[in-house]
Amino acid sequence: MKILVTAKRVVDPYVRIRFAANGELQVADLKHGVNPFDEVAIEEAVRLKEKGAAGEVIAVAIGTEQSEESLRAALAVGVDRAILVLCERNVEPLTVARILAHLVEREGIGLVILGKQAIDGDSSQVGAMLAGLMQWPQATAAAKIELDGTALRATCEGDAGAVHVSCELPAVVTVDLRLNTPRYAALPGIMRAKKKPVDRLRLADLPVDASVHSAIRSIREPQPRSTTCHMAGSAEELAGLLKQKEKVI
Amino acid sequence: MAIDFTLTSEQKQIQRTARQFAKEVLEPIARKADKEPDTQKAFQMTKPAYVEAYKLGFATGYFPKEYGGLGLSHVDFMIAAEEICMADPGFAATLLVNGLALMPVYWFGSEAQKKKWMGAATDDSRCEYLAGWTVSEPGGTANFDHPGAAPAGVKVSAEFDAKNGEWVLNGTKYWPTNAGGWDLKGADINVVTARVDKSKGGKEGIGCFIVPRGTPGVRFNQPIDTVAHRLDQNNWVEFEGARVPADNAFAVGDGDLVIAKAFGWSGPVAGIAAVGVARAAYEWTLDFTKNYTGGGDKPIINYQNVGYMLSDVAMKIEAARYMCWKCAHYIDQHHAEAQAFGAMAKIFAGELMHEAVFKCMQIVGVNALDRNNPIEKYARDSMVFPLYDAGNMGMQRRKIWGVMADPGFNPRAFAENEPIAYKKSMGGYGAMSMGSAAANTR
Repeated sequence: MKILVTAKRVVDPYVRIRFAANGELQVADLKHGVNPFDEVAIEEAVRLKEKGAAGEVIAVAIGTEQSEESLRAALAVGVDRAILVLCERNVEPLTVARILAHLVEREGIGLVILGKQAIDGDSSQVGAMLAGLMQWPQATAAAKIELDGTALRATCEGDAGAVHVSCELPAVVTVDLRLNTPRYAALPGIMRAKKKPVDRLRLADLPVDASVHSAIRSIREPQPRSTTCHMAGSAEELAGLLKQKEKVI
Repeated sequence: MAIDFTLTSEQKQIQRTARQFAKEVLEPIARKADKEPDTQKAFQMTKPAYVEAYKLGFATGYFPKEYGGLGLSHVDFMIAAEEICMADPGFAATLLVNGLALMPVYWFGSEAQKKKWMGAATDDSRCEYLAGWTVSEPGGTANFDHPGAAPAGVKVSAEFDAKNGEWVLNGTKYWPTNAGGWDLKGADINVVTARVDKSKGGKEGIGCFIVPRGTPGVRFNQPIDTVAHRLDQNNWVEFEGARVPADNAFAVGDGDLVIAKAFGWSGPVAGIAAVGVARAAYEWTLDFTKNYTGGGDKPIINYQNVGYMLSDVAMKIEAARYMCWKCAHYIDQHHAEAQAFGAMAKIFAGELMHEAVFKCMQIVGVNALDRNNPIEKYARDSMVFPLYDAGNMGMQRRKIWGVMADPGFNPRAFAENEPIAYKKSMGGYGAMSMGSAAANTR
């Protein structure tokens, strides 16, 4: 059974993103890394392989040549091989889901594990769209995964509580950060990753509908909020202020 | 594009792993171990971090590929070492000393010795393998290449017992790192320098001997109680008729060359270790100056003097880092023949970073002395760099001097990336008797 995982290249979560004078986001030169949610997906897939539940783990990234770095990071922690789908512009979630669906068919994938969201766009749509396109069962925001043959059980945590999903493979699972703690990339793994194969495909050459349905019209920096104020007074005065002035209670 | 400081994709990954390891695994242990009064206990407290570091490839990853290493370049090693030293340079010294002990086997040993000893180091399923580099002695070793009184500096003797085909070691070593091992019963091996001919002094008659753990006649005493780099183990070892097979000897007669080469190889590593500590001090201090007012109405970074001093700190750190990178690159290019350049990187970075950390202390003020703040540890640890790993005054400067004084020395060799063939005559330069050697020595 083959597992497909995603390794999206995103701006490092600890880097401060700034707006340029022309109002555009300046991210090209910033430090990048693998989407942290995808890192959890990669770790889970590698663990399933180590337990003997999967035969091969394939990572995919969509973007420019720079995305190879994300794939190498995935290969360094135990992913077997990688696919880089090259395109020059950002693609919207539906296109990503269609690309993944194409790769699922092409590679004969039995399970797709991906981050429940990417920390740049935060759309949280790709997993569900992929399941819809494939007509496969899905478990979203999984905090626990168990695989017994082709029987998949996942615990998905949400604000309302935990949802237990049981289904048969093939399936799509999107993962939450609680699922596991990704391992460090050991130096032997990093060196081995250099030799693992990365297939390059051009989005334009794939039989995938990449039509655009949405556009970003503008991006603005949030208005700075007023800073903390110090108050001296009784609890009643504080409650009064929160109620009347700040209107939060 | 020849001059390019961009990190490769692998180097970025190595940096990330080292950074995560330093922050998440090493730092919590380092704080506690640094405060442990018993140095052996402090060393033992680092073992879980060492096991993890071994698994990640930091303990022997820089060994050549054909002998079990990963074939990382010295530049790769720089990148990892800087990150690890942000958390603790003593722990990093434990890792580095595996190389100080075993890289000489790679450079000077036989094929069989390389396979056997480097193979064992890189293939330890317990992930706790340690090698000791056992050179320094009580009474001082820096002037070992002094041609006057014999035997000087290296007084541990190795006599060949032809009947049994064994070398017999006698004498005392003081300072060697890792030598005692996790339980003070010995590191997996100790690489020991000794005089094979007691009548000889200076550069003559020194050899290297691999003493495996469990060899009878070796005693490991309580490690030295040091003020800094408290996480590594500095030993006091006594040899009394310790016997090793003839096959365990290498570079007999050329021990001086081994010492010069090994401390050239480790020079930029010690230099980048100093950069790591100074960077930790700088980053902490920068943050401090943006929050601390010293009782004034604004954070102290808004005062000109603080701004200027921080600028000095930052530029020194950048300069030292790139000197070490360049030196490591030179080592990669020239089979680790960097006796002088390695010394330059070590001296320059070690001394400059100590200044940088002290400047940080001046900026922070009296709060730098509070043991609840990390600056006092950075200050203690940064003091070590000019003193250890062949002292900057005692040994490293003399090495540069000796290379420079050679009639064939090319002063452009470092900048133009040309090799310098190190010769025996370059060692111990100026370490000669001034008047009566007997009258001036104790």
